[in-house]
Amino acid sequence: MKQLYIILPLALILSFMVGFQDREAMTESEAMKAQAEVEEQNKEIVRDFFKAIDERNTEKLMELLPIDFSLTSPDITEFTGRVKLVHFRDAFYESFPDASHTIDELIAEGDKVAVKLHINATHEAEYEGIPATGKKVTQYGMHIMRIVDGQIKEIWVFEDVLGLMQQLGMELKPKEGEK
Amino acid sequence: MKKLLMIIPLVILLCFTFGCQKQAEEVITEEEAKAIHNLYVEARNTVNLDLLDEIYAEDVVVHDCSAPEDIIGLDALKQYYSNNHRALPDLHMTIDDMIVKGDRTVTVWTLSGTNTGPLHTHLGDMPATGNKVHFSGVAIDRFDEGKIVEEWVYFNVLQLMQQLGFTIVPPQPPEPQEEKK
Repeated sequence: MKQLYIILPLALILSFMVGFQDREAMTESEAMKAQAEVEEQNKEIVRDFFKAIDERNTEKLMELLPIDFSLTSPDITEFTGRVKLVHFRDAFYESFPDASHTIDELIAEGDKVAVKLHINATHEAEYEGIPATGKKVTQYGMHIMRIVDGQIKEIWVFEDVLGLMQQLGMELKPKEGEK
Repeated sequence: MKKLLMIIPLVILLCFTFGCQKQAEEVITEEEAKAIHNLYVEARNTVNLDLLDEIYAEDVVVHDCSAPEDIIGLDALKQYYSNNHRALPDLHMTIDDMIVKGDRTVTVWTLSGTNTGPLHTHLGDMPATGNKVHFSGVAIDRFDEGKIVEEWVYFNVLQLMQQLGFTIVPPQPPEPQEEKK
């Protein structure tokens, strides 16, 4: 029994030590929890964004994008202004009226969300000089978005344009023609 | 007194449970991810493809939108890269942005080079054009036990092919030399 009395204070000291460590771990895990919450919210904003695009809900888009929103598709197109995105969307949906985005994966970390997605669409009017083919196409791509104060401030777009063009019947040829 | 004795093991058990919970989240840390991607850039820029053994699992699967089929296995990936280097011997790659989360990393990269060697395409080997290329893309890597086991790569392949002197045209009437897959 005496031995037990020795063990007990020891156990108490141990619990205190663990307790301290735990408190540190607690604040750390609280910060992580807060971060995880923001990341979940950011994912939701991205889901809302693609929904608004597909539903052509301009009002919702205006909510999700700041005035100085910018889009970069490296070396291809780069613009600032959410109104331009609306024009861009309208032009695309004129050619592919039933276009719909499917999100395959969302990876959120800090203020960024990476989106792996594909677009299903039917080619019903002229696109990039190609007259309507009626073909059903799927384009794969990835977007990286930066979210600031609940709005999408920047988007970087990486898409396989060649894959889309080939589905529309275009062929890749060496420029000089001969092989 | 006896009750106390029961409580202590319980407390210890609880601590263990909490301890374990924290670890499950992160499969790869930011430092590890940085080190691996730096090594990758070195492997590509110095054409030291053996370094890839430390980065990719033997049975890695790469879904690259510029490759007609999935690249399966590290040997096939090395072959693919060495074709790239044959076409662009001065190939230079940089990593511009990185996201690390759970078992995945997302990297934005830029690749540039000069087409001074033959280019392997689905139309056969194309002679060197001397053209310069410069393009950016993005990769998602899935890690397991410290190595990449699966990778998805996206970039604008059309832009690259245009830089390499290709153009896209409407379907041509079949010609005698045409060979279609």
